[in-house]
Amino acid sequence: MEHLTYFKVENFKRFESFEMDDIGQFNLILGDNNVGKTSVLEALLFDEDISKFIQNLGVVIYHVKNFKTFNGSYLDYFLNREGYQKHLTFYISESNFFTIQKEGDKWFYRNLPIVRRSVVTKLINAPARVLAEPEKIYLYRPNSEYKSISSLLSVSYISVFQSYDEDLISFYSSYIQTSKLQKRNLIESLRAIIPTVENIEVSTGEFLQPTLLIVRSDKDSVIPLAVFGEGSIKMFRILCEIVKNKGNRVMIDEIDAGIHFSRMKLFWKTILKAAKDNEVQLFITTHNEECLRYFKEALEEEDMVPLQKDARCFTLEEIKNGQVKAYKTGFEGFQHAIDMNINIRGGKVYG
Amino acid sequence: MDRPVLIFVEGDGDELFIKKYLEFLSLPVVEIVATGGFKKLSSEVVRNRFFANTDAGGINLVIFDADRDTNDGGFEKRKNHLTGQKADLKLEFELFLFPNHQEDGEFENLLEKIIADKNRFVLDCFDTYLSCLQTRNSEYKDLNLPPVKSKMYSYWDVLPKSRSQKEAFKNKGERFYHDPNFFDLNHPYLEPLKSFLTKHLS
Repeated sequence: MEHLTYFKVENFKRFESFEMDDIGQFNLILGDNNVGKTSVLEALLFDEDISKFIQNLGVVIYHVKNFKTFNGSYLDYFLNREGYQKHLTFYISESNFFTIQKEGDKWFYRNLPIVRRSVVTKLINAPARVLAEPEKIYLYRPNSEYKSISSLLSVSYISVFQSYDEDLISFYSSYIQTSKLQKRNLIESLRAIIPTVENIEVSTGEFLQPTLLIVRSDKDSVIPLAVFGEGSIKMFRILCEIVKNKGNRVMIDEIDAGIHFSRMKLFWKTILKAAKDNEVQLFITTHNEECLRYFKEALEEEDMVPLQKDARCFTLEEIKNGQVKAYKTGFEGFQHAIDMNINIRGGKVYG
Repeated sequence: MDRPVLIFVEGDGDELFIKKYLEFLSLPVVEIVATGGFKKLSSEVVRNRFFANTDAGGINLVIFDADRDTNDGGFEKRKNHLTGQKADLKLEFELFLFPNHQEDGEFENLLEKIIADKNRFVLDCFDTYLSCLQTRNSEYKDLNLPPVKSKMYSYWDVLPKSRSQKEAFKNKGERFYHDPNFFDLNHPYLEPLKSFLTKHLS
């Protein structure tokens, strides 16, 4: 998958139309509460494979709402309710876009070979139910059983709610442990926070539940990942996603949650380097001023300077008629904002 | 004020003064952006602040120094430069230049005019000190002559202060603009600035 340099979405959640241009490899998405930062991450889960896209949206509903049930098509949940337009359109360049149209009560997606069209039409119109089981999203089909359509693990989206849950162990077992190369990449990156890490194992052994264990070169005993604290767990999850999604994009909501400020610079350096090495495009939201300052400081370190040209900051602002516009700032402008304490996080600041 | 107003100034000192002066005038204390100097008008992040406020239907106010010909400024020259930048960068704003939107000078020159009358001697003493140094400059060519900013600093520094005022001055950046023992915010020299702010913020 080529990295996005342009993205526009129409009629998606609060956006009638929302556009980002000159997108880089490392993108911060900033803005006031309820301006739509998380919605941007969700919209970026679009996939030209419509069935994959529907699955991604199902997973988002699970993360965001933790719905026991959701009646109606997943697409209904994401359609802008304010406007009169009944279509969702995603642009990956100004001339390359795809549209899913709602006519009456039905959704249609026509840019497909006829042989797949009926299958996809059924999929996007099926009443969906998200069941609160740990790892699966189910699609309810009338006169049929609940059918698993997706795994929570399959989506390159890290919600603010995710911590050391069973899904992290499953994720590691399913996607990282099975590939020597990916495992080696992960361990390399993890050394930034656990310098002597030699191996990662999944063990039941003396533990009641499957547990991620860290093997260190300077110690004889192994130690559960959870012992290293919330920041290390978060880093582990992000690095797993980056390694697994080599060449693709990863969306991370409120990246600073659970990270102590003293670790933030190292945290950023590790993530940015891993993303560079794995050619992963990052879209990251945060509200945290310190987090932004450490993003700048991480990229100012000598070995990180070449990455500055790939950094972008998009500040979302509500403009006239409730529309939302993204204002892009490159790294030089971002530095200036942080150094001069110019508000780049959006919203209004009153004395 | 039915449109959001954003004020752009050059530095932190100007920001603090405008904030205190808005409070004094009982005008809304709106967001003030310290840009880092008139050359930073073209900075991407500063331009974005202009655009976002304009897109939201707001008004931008620029309050910069006129400066002097010694630092490539002067009221007319700086006004023309900024008006040119406004057009080139497609910015929308209303402009006011310190000290009084007529004369050459800086923010500090405005402060010099509005100090409490009884303290005028402090600045006179400073001028005498500076003149004396200048007479010796031919002898000692590398003398570090104090800039205009240090004149005002010495004004704040030398005047008697309570213990809490000393603490606030040193550690919290307090500059006593509201205190009539230091400044006269009713001074007629402030009228042009008052009119400019009142027009856009009432």
